[in-house]
This record gives sequence, structure tokens and C-alpha cells, in this order.
Amino acid sequence: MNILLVEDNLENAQLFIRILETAGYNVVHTTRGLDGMREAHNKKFSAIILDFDLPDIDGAQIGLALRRRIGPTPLIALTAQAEKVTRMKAKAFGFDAFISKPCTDEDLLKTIAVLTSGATVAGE
Amino acid sequence: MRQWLRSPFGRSLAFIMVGFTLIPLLILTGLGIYYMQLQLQDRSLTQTATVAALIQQAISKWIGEGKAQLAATTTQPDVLQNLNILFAASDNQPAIRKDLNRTLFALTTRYFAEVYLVRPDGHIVLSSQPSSEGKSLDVDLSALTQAGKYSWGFGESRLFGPQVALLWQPIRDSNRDLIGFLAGEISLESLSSVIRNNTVGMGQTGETYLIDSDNIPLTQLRFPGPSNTQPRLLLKPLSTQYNVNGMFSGLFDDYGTRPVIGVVQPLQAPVSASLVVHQQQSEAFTSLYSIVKAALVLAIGLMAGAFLASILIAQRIIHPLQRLSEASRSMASGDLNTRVDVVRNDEIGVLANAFNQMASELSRIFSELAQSNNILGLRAEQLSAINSVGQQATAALDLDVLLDTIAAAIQKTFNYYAVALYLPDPQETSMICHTVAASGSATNSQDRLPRHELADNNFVGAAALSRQLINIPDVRQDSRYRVDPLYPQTASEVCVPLIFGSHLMGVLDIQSERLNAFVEHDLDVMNILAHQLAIAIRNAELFKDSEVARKIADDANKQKSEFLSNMSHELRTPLNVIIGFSSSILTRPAMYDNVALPNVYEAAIKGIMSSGQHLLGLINDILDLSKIEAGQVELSIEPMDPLPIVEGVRTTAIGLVKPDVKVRADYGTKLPLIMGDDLRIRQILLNLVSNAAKFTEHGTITIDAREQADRLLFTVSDTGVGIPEDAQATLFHRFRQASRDVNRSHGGTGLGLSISRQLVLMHGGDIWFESKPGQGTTFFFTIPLAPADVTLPEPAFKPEEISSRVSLFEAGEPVLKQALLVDSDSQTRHSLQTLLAQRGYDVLEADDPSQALEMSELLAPNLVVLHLHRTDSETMLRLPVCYRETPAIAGLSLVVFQDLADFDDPTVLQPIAAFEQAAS
Repeated sequence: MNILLVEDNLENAQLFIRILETAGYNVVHTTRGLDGMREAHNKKFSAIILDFDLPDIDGAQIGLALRRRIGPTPLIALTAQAEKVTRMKAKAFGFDAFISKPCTDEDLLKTIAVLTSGATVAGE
Repeated sequence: MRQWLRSPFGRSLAFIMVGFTLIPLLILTGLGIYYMQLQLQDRSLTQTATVAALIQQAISKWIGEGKAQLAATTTQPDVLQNLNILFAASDNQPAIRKDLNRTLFALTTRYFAEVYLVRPDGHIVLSSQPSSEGKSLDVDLSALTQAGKYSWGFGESRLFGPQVALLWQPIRDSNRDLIGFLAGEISLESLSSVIRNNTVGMGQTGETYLIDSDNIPLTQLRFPGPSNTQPRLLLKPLSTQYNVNGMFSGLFDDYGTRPVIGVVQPLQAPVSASLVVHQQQSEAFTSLYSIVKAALVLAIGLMAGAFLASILIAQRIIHPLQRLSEASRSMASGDLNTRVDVVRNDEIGVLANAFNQMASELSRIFSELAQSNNILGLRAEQLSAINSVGQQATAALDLDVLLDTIAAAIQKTFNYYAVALYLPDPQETSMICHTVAASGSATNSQDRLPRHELADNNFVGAAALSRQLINIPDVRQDSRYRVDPLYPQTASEVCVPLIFGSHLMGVLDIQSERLNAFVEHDLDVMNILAHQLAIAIRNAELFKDSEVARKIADDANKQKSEFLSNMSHELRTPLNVIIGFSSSILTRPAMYDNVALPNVYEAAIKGIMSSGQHLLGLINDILDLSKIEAGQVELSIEPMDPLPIVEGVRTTAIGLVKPDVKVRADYGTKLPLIMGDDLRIRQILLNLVSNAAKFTEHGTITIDAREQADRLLFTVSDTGVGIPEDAQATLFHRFRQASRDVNRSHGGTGLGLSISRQLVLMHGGDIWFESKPGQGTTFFFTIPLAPADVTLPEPAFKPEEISSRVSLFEAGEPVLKQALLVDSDSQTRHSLQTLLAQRGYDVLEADDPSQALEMSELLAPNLVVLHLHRTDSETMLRLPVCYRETPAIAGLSLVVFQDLADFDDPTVLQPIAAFEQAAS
């Protein structure tokens, strides 16, 4: 399964990639939001993980555009903005899940599992 | 007259006067008339009775004469002889008849209308009227003669009609045998004239006549009515009396129904006729009527007299009284100049004098009162003015506003020509005018505000230097005066120093167009005002200082919050790496190609991990507390089921406690709904549970929740070390832990309980604890229950609980629209961004063409807004063309603005609205 990870912090990206790949996912990583957007246009992903603090565009806005353009692919917000207001924003912008950093590998994997299993059932 | 009638006293007087004269008069008159009538009646009746007697006598005499004639005739021998022959003869005997006829005719002269000779059976043998001969009288004369009692009477006769009076004389032959009668029918005309002739002293209406037994008049009537029918005497007496002869006398109505007084005297029996004598009452009582008239005239006269008398009395008494009472009324209604012009020597005069004296005394007192009232009113006005100025002075805390307000208030309230306020400059070398308020006639200019040296050569400076009020009644006489071209009318001036403690706060300068405008009163008022002003200025200065300090503090606080928030975010990102890598190294060898971690590193990696977690706890707590303190925490309190949270915390607790500690749950399978913020309730509970876990080496940690009144009471109790008594009082304070040792051995910031307490209080609940050192601690907190009728909607999507860090949302189409705003000017971009956000857009911003194109292509926003400026680069200005010509983005909704300036103009967004309308 392909996972798109948009994360500008390289150390964090390394950690997440390692967790995800160990769990058997194929990860495409970009640091810019627009690059992620381009990837999402070119390729089909089982889930897309977006950091909010991106150098070019707010990850939430990327999420909103993705939701409008590519349909019901699971969108996961993964951000160090842990406040409740950010969770609400994620919901309003069409995300399926919000994970606050720091998180455990379980948080991430379980969330993907829940969202993709639902997508499988609903989609195919 | 009208006044007199209006006066109740006048009316009573009139009634009494009239009543007292009229009523006795009427009674007396009535009685007099009554007795007089009786007397008149008596007299009249006596008179009529006398007349009646006279007439009767005359009738008797007349009848007697008639009878005597008849008798004399029969006793004449030749006549008797003839009669004998006639009655005896069976034939006609014309000679004798002729002879007797002559005799009979002779009898008809005076008394009789007709005389006849009648046989005893009533057959008329011979009559003075030949037509009667051969007929028969319907009277049994022989029977009458045998009775021998009467020799005349009236009788009905078929032959002669009803009214016949006959006198008869029996004719006897030589044997004394009755052979016939000589009968004479009485001439009623003659009888009437007898009656009339004997009627004397009966006045104009006196009347005498005979009536038969049916009360039908027999003789001639004096006033026969127009009626053709036989008149009848109407005997309906008002009063009657009968004398011994059966005479009827009294008041009755005559045949013409006229009221009369008189007598009805029956003639001697068996003659069934009566003599009637009467006079009309109107005549009989003439004198009475004149007396009644006289009495009436007298009564009216007396009444008028009484009336006039009462008017006169009223004139004398009521009028002055009325004037007095009117005067008192007008005085009572406030006219104290009322006087009564009654000049008399009697009691009323004395009363009027007293009244006038009282009135002048009253008006004198009143004018004195009014004068002092005036003064008081003036004082009150000034005091209220001072008060209002003072209130305005203390209400305004901004110094400039304060000075303007005060100057204007004083000027307006006391209507001065100009009022200026001077404050000393910081070096206290001169006084600077801060504000001038001037009346309409002066130039109200704030443009050129004067400044005066702090010296004796000017009024303001002198007042400030001497710290005494300076009053210049006539400025032109004072050498220090310089004409101010803006206020040329100034004639007198007062300068009052404003002193607070030992500080000179300023000078109040008041100018008037009048000479000697300021009297002692005004100066008093100004001193009071100056005192209040000094305080107000002082307050304003202090407020200004404190405002500055507060603003600095606010800014600092805001900066702190922002800093903490940023710091938290910045720290979380590396902490994610630290914790993530260290924990995965320890627990997920698969991530590292299953290369085993050398034992020598394990402790170090664990240290990194736990330190990272501790650091994270610190960051969270500090951030929470700073937000709570800054009032930035907004709870989303709504009805919620606490059970999943308690259950989640219990599960977490199992992983937190030391090996020798059990976690017990006392709550059941169902809890009532509470009003809470789920994340915060979890935070509070988790904090208490992790505290308990931290301090409990062995035993049990019990989590419980139960309903108590309108609250849900949560308890977390442990069998841990307990809290030392000296630490209990400050347990909820910040940065407190039981001891430094504990802090070191157990970690933690000491902020947890403080945060928990704040959060509980924000929910409207309470938090407290019970603890015994060495035995354990129990924490309690309460959260309000949700209203009984609230039920939670069954969530369509029930997110699986993963951890507190993860939120899963219900899938759904986002409602937000997205707009790309391209504007090279950050200021106008910001304005447009605000406008678009207000319309519900999430706004992407771009300031250069390539970025704009890339974003448009990749994100395909719902709307693209281009704001171009003349100064923009050529590529930027070419963007609209690019949008048209690039197929990938040609279909986007594009709105182009050029050099927008007025963003408040509602028409700015019209093109956008048009797109929205087309899209919907």
C-alpha cells in the first residue's frame, strides 16, 4: 500500500518512514505541500499524512484541496500543534484523523489501519 | 343679585324670610276664607229661606184670591141658577151657556188661563175656550172634593198636558148635592209674575220658580239654557240642611248645572210642587272672592317684601363676607396682594381689617421667604454645577479629555466668557494652556494655545507662583494685563491655582465680559472647583501612568503566551524524534533490520526516552497553565458520557502503576451524563490517577464516580505515602510538591494539581482531598450533571479509541470553499483576505505569478482572485491572459481587480458574488 507523507522536518520524516516501511507500507515523502499535491495527482495512495507546518502552504489547506480534488482518500493530519482548535480545524478541512506530535508508532499505524480498512470496505 | 343667589347663606336667608311670612299668611287666609264662606253661606241661605217664605205667602194669598173669585162666582144667585139649569139640563141651553160663558170668560182675566165647568165625572160642559168643551178632565174631582182637603194643585192631564194647575169650586144645588165644579186652570204666567214680584234682594243671579215632583221647573225661568229638552233642577248639594218643614237648603247645581246656593221649599201638601229660590254661588260669595284676591295680593306683596328684605340683609352681610371669602381663596391660591375693601364699623369691618392686616403680614413674610429661597436656589444651583463638573472631572481619566470636558463644563454651567486650563511644563518654568472653552461671542480656538511665564508679570503665572487665587475686577486697570486678540472682550478675570498636596497641578483661568463679575460667592465656588480639579488631574496623571504600565504588562503577557505556544510547538517536533526513535529502538527491532541493541546502550536509550517524555509533560503543563492564566483556555462544555473516559483512564492507569499495585474500579456500567469538556475531564482524571500511581508503592488505587445531588463525584484514592500535613494547605499551589525529594524521585512539574483545580473550577465543580501521611490520599472532584432531559445523540460514526493523541473524524464533504488570492501588495492582500474569509473562504495567498500558477493548477481552488497593481511586474500583469490561455486552469472562476483602494465599498465583491450565484 502506498502512503504519501508530507513532512518538512527531516528527522521526523525519517522516523515515520522507518515506522511505516517496517509495517510494510510503501512511502512517498515530500517536504513541500505543493510537491505532495503533485504526487497525489500522479499516483494513487491508500492514505495521505500531512504535517500542518509546511514551508510553502499550510498542510490543512493542502488537505482541503486534496479532499476536493482526489475524493475519499484517507487524510491524516500529523502536527505538533496539539491544541483542540487545531483538531477542529483538521475536521473542518476534511481530514479523517488528527494525530498530535509527539506520538507513538502505534498511534500512527493503528490510525492508518482503521482508516484504510474502512476505505477498503467502503471502496471496493 | 346673582352673587347673592350663589351664596348659600343668601339662599337660606331668602327661604327663611319668605317661609316665615308666606306660610302663616296662607294658613290664616285659608282659615278666614273658610269661616267667611260658612258665614256667607248661612246668610245667603237665611235670605233665600226668607224670600221663599215671602213668596209662599204671596202664592197662598194669590191662590186664595183665585179661590175666592171662584167661590164668589158660584155664590152669585143668577150664576148659580144658570149652573143648576145647565148641569141639570140635558139639552144645550144656548142662552144659559152664553151667559155662563161670559161669566167664565170674565174669570180668565187675572188668575186663570182657562175656566170651565165640569161635571163630577170630569166631563167639561162649558169652557172659556170653546175647544175644550166636550172633553174630559183626567182628574177625579169628586174624590178630591170628598177628601175636602185641598182646593188646588197640579196634575197631569192628558187633555191639557203635564203642567196644569187647577183651582176648583164645587157647585151644589139647593139640596147641597154636588152637581159639578167650576174649575180654573191657573195662569202660570200670572203665578210666575207673582213669584217674581215677590222675589227681592236676590241680586243679579237670584232666581225663584216652581218645580214639580220630578224637579222639572214649572214656572218661567230666568236663565233658560239653550237646551231644547226640559231642564231639570239638579240637586247635588255640596252641603245640605233641612228644616222642620222638610225644606231643603244648601249648595247645589241649578237646571243649567250652575253652582248655586238656595232653598227648595215644598208647597203645602198634597201639592206636589216645590218653590225653588236660589242665587248663583259666584254672586253669593262675591265678597269672599274679593277677600281671597286681596289676600293673594297681600301674600305676593309680603313675599316680595321678604325677598327684598333678604336681599338687603345679604347686601349688608353676605357681600362683605363673600368678598372676604373670595379674598381668602385667592390668597390661598397664592395671590398675597389680595385686600378687602370693606369700610365699616361693625364686626364685618373689624374682620376685614384683620384680614387685610394678616394678608400684608403674610405677603411680607412670603417675600422674605422668596428672597431667601432665591439665595438658597442660587447656592443649590452652584453646588449642583460644582457637583456635575466634579462628576465629569472624576469620570474622565484621560487627561486631555478631562481638561476639555472640565473647561467646557465650567464655561457652560456658569456662562463665562472664556475658561482656560493651564498645566505647568515639566521644568515648571512656564504655564501651558491646554484647553480654552469660550462662549459663543468669543473665538473658540484651540489652534493657538498661549503659554505664560511662571512669573509675576502675568495673571496665570502670578496665581501659580503665589498659589493664591487672584481676582482682577477690572483688567484694564492692571498693568499685567495684555489683550488677547482672541478674547478682546475680557473685562474681569480670575486665576485659581490648582493645588494637590504641595504640588501645583495647574491654573484655572476664568474671564468675564463684565466688570466686577466675580463676587465672593463665585470665588468660593471656584475654590471648591479648583480643589476637585486638582484631584481629578492628579488621578488622570496617575491613571495615565498605570495605563502605560498595564499596557506594557498586557503586551508582555501576550508575548509570553505566544512565546510559550511557539516554544511548545517547536519543542514538540524534536521531542517526537527523540521519543519516537528511542522508544522504537527499545521496542521495535524490526525497524532496525532486527539488529539487536547492545545491552550497554539500553539504559542510555531508556534515559533519553523517559527524559523526552518528562520534557513533554513539562511543556504541556506549562503551556496549559500559561493559557489558563491568560484566560485563553476555552472549554467546550457539552453533555457527555463520562464512562468511556473513566474507563480509558483506568486502562491507562494499569500501565502506569508499580508492579505491586492493583487498580480497582468501583463505578458500575452506567454513569449519568455530565456537562464537561471531554479532553479536560480526561486530563484532570489522568492527572490524579498518575499522581496516585507515582506515590503508591503497593496496595490499591481505586477510581470511582457516583452521582451526588446535581453533581458527579469522582474519587481517586490510593494507599500511598500520603501528603504531609504541612504541605496540605498549599497543595494546589503552583510548583508545589510534597518535598524536593519527592520531586527528584518522581519527576513532574508540580503544576498538575494546580491545572486540575483550575479546570475543575472552570467546569463549575469543586476539588479537594483527604490524606493521612503513610496511609494514603483520596482526591475528590465534582462536575455538574447534564439536565435530566438531555440525551446524547447516537453518533453515526463511532471512532475507535486509539489514544488521547489521536482524533478520528466522521468522513464527510468539507463545507469550506477555497480561494486563491494573488496580490503583490501585502497590505491590500490582507484586506482582501479578510473580506474573503468573511464570505466563508479558506484563503490561499500568493504574491508572485509562478506561485499563483502552480497553486492554481495543483489545488484548483473554487475561486481565484487576482488583484493587480500598476506597479506590478509584467509577468504579473500578464496573469489574466495566462489564466485564459493555459488549458489546465482556464476553467477556474477568475476575478480580476485592478488597483482597489476602498475595501469598505460593498460593491467590491459583486463579481465574486456573481460567480457564487452561478456556481450554486
